[in-house]
Amino acid sequence: MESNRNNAPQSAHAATAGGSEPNYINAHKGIWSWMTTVDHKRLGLMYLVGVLGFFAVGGIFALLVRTQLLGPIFKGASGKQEWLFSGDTYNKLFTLHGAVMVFLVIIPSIPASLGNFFLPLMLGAKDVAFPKLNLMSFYVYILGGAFLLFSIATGAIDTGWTFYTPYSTTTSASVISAVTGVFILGFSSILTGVNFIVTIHKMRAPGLTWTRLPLFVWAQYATSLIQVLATPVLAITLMLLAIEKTMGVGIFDPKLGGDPVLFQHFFWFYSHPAVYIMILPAFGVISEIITVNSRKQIFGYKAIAMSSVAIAVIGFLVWGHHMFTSGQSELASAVFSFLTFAVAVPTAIKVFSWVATMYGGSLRLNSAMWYGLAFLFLFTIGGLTGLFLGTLSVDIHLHDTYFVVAHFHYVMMGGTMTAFVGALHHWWPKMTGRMLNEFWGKISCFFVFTGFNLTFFSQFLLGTKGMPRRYATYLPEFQTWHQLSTLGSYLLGLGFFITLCYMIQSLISGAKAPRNPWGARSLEWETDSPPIEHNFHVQPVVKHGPYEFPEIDHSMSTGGGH
Amino acid sequence: MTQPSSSHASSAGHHHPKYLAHHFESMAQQNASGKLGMWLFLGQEVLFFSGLFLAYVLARIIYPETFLAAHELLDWKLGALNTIFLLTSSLTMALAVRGAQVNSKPQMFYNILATLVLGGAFMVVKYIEYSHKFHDGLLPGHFFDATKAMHNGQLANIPGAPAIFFAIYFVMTGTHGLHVLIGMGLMVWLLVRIKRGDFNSENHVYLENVGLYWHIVDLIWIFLFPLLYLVR
Amino acid sequence: MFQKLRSLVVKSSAAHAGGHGDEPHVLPLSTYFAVFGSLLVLTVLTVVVSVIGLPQPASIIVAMVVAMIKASLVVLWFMHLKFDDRFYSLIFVISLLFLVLFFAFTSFDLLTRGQVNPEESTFSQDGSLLRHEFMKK
Repeated sequence: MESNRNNAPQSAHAATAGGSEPNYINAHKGIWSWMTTVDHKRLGLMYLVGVLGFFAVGGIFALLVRTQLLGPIFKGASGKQEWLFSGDTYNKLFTLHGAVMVFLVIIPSIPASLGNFFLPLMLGAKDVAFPKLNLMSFYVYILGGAFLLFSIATGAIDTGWTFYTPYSTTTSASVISAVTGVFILGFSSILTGVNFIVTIHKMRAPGLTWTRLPLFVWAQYATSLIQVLATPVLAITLMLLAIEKTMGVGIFDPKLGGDPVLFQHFFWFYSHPAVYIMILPAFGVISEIITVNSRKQIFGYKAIAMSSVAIAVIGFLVWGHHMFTSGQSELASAVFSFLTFAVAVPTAIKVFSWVATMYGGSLRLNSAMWYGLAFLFLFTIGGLTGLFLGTLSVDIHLHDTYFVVAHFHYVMMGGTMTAFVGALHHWWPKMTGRMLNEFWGKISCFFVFTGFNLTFFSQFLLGTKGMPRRYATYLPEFQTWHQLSTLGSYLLGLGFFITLCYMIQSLISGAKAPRNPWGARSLEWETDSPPIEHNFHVQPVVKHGPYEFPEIDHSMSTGGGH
Repeated sequence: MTQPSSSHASSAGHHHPKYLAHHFESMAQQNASGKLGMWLFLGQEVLFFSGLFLAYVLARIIYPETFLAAHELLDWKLGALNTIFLLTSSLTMALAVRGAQVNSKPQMFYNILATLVLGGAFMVVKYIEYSHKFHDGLLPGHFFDATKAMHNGQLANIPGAPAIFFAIYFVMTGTHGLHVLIGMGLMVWLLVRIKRGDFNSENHVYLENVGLYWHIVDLIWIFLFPLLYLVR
Repeated sequence: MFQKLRSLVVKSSAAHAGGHGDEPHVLPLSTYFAVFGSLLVLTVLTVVVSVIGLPQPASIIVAMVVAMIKASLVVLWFMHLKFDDRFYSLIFVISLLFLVLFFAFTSFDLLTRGQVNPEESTFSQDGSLLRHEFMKK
């Protein structure tokens, strides 16, 4: 209300719509208006649909993998009796599960869908800095996804999502098309990262200083830095891999004089920071959900913001901890192990700050907050078991066992995906203009949480007992734990299916959402639900921090600076 | 664009030229955003090529004799000629940007044209070099043909793994050449836009960004030349 | 150090400030030609050094130092980094730092392999490609 300089065009819009201004969904009609849109909100929504679609595909692969592991393969009278899938098929299933989940779901999940949708809104901008580039990255994402699906159709890959040489350069599976898909997806990721960094630097509303940015924005900033700096190395790695496979070049293949460990260096220089591409946005989401629902100034704003950047930087120094047993030099392993512990520090700063934020707050336990609390529990386990694996001597025992599988699922799935679903609950009213069913939200969260722990905690136990990962079969003594794990995965699937059901129900008959159902202070809540095409009726001017809730008694406030 | 960008001609009365996109407040903001985006992209380019340079370094650590012997098969004179082509094209590119700053359409046009021609000359020399290598069987990986090289009077008894040296040579110069080709494509587009009168002293961030890209391509060649042609 | 970095970031992103100094900085033509001349001279130098044939470590060091000087000339003058927003320099330097990091850790691993278990210094099934044979020289 400070300025009315943008009123003229918008009232012109409003006049054509007859009274109330159309929102971004109904401002333009027809499929073509969606396919050529440069509106960050529509693109965010399209990414969301894409990500959820691929999540379903990856999830089905996961359930098939778990179903296979209900029973070990027993040799029957004919000498070869297999339960459900052959070993080859099983290899393809877990590879596709991994590749789809990593490259098509988790990496773009929060940044590309929710980041696209909310970053400009949180900054008080009309759009991202390069809207056409944004549209282009969406199509690049779809193209990359198409290549991956093509490789599934033409025989699939069985290398694991890591494409380790020399197996990947010698197997007959369709590695080239899969690698091309991932290469293309990398470009989508880089372009989105560039776009976000520029947007955060150049598009902030008047008064929105760096220390008034919502922490989600800070997390996105750190994520984008990694996307820009690490992803090109993945691109060159995969290019070299494809060249090696087609021409037998011998950079990675020991038979031809190359060094297979070199491939792992190249791969993990990207893929370890990529872990932080996956988890940092989730940290941002949790900072929002927990603070808004604790009705309290966040504890340690600057510490959380800076720890995001610190994680982004230190995350580049630790990739060798994936290679402790692969022939890397012992000295390098020791250095990488030491540095790995350093990442735990900024991560712990965040977890402690969230807990301290909740302490003394008036908690509102809505379904988003349920997911937020689930995140805290699961991520803490995931993070701490990471320390076990970062310890050189322990890792020799646990490397490539189910312990590793459980660890990264606690971080990626229990961390990122839980936060992602929590974020959907938190921002759903803003995105769609409808409320979600709170009761069923909590039911689904219960199933997800219980199912998740049943699935993956039993895998910790399997791992410590020596069950190796990526095997289609196992010794009989592991069967109980495997079956518990499979049971858990079904519960988990059920939880997500319930979520899908009440989300569809909300779109059809959900209650109309008010502007600001959770009483949040960041800018995205100051516009309509769903937002109008150009985001704000008037250019917002920011005069307070993102978490200065009106009911806070400032004389008592002990939270960190805003 | 789905929105009419002119609809935001503001009532506040500040300058709002036609080439200012709807979501920016001022030309300064638009230009700075474009340039920041380009610099981030260049950072990405540096790390993209870093993988190739690292592969070079490690292969050279493992096979030092191979690199010493195999580089004799590259013609440093052609490499030096190409270096001069690219350095000159960098100069003309910089002058084109200066032409935009001083609002001179001919300076922009002819300098970009010169850059394009020099880029083309670079690719022609590259083509000559490549066809020699193809003829002599000095190819990467499986395609490396020692008998053919011997037959053509080339030193073929290179110790270690000559196929790896030529793999790295072809991958590095090939990736670089691809970047040159992309740059030339961008320059054709620039020429069209200059002719159309799109750029002036206030609005030339596209021209400047293509320039930045071209200079980074030049920069990579500055390192490739001594590493591949002048090994001692 | 942190304060300096902060001021860099804050300065570069005076969002919506409007009149932020991004006016073109026009250099005299003579500067461009001087830079170009130096680049040519350095190119000749690097070729001459190679033809003379300095002993092993010196040769590569000289070649790289010359290349770095050439690169700096291009970056500072042709790419205007000397006169532009300092934040662009920061981005460029950060990307170079990550490049160094990538090089440093990976070559560190390669050069220290086999110190505990000597048999780990080889990576190839083919005896003719034993790494330590080359590493000794």
